[in-house]
Amino acid sequence: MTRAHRRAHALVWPILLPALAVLLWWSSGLRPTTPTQAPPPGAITGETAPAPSEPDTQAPPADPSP
Amino acid sequence: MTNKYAWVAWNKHKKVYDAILIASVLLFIVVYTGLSFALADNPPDPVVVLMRAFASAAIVLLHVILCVGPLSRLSSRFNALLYNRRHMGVTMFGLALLHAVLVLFWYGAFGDKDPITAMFDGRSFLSVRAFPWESLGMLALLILFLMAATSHDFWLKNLAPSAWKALHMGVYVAYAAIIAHVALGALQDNRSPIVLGLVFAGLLVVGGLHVAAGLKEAGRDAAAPSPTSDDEPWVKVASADDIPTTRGKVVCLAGGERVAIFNHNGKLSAMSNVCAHQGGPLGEGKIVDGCVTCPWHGYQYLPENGQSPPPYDEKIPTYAIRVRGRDIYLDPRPLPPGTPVEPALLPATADDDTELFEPVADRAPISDPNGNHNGERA
Repeated sequence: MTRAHRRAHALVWPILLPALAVLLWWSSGLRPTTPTQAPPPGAITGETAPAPSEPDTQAPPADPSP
Repeated sequence: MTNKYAWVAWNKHKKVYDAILIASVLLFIVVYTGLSFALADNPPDPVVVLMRAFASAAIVLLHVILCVGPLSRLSSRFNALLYNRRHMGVTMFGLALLHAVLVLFWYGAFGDKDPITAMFDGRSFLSVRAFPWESLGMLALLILFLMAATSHDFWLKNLAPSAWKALHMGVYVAYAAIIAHVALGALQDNRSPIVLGLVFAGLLVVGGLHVAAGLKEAGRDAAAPSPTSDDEPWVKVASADDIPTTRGKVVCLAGGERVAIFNHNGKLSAMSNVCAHQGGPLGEGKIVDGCVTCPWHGYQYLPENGQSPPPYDEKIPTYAIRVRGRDIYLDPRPLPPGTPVEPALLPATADDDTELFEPVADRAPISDPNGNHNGERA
């Protein structure tokens, strides 16, 4: 490889490697989520909302056939 | 080499290389497709499975391609993988193109708008979930197309190796675009930690190998000897015992240039370490049929003048070389490509300290008193 080519290689990866690693981490849903603005007055927040009384599943619809 | 062009200059090695390549790709697609059907709770759509199989095969092949370069710089035993790397690249582009065509026709064939326009409807470049990540795949495909289309030696010769290399460094942009394409596309729908882990592992392997190879190269450059003065340009670069017959040694010079010194039946010659074809490390090759032979693609040069044997016309810079005792000295100033240089004779044995060449100080000066090079030099 030419000297210029070796230098290009030496510069690319120290930038590319952490940048792509951060992109993967950021886009994977592993990043901590923070609210971007305060909730409007009167809104039900996680602290005031009642606990769900039903499991997070739905019963299948009743069979309409006789 | 460049005497005349053929679509593919087939030989036995290239046929074996390509047979292994095609068989590996087909095996990957069959295994991927089989596992997709075997592990799915509901039978998946065969077209969707196939488009994902093509994409996955292309990404795996791209990782292999990107690993070949640093591996060969870390160890010459991987040079064999470089021999036909371009066919890997063209195959990878073909797989990526098949993926793109299937995606466009499968997801875009039933709407009112053309598939490209529909791709950007209701999307935002500022949102992770609504990002038009397909555009990143299209960018990568465009770069890969340019690389595949110019991969032939015809373009290498006519674009000039430096411009060709610069164009083909675009593979790193394509790689970044593909990782982003996967991160913002497939990984948003498939939250499997296994898939995410595989993408991370691939990135770490490719990037880690490049960083390791770069550190190795930097270490070699840092150990480069420097001339003691302008009046005495010769630098000691090796010992006579360092270079076995028909083999070469790569020496680093101050400033980052590298020189290949070859021992051809007891006669030493020095030339640029950079092959005129694709920049292969000539010093890691050997002498075959009296010619220095590049370990990457077999380009050849005569040791005494750095010229390819007729009918080929490649030329590389040569260097003045001499032997004092058992020490090898080099003038670090390159001669114009193809300049004949008298080879230096090696002493016969390690016990022979006879100076076959006169001491350095007694030789005719390379530069005139005004600092201008003599007529041999550029």
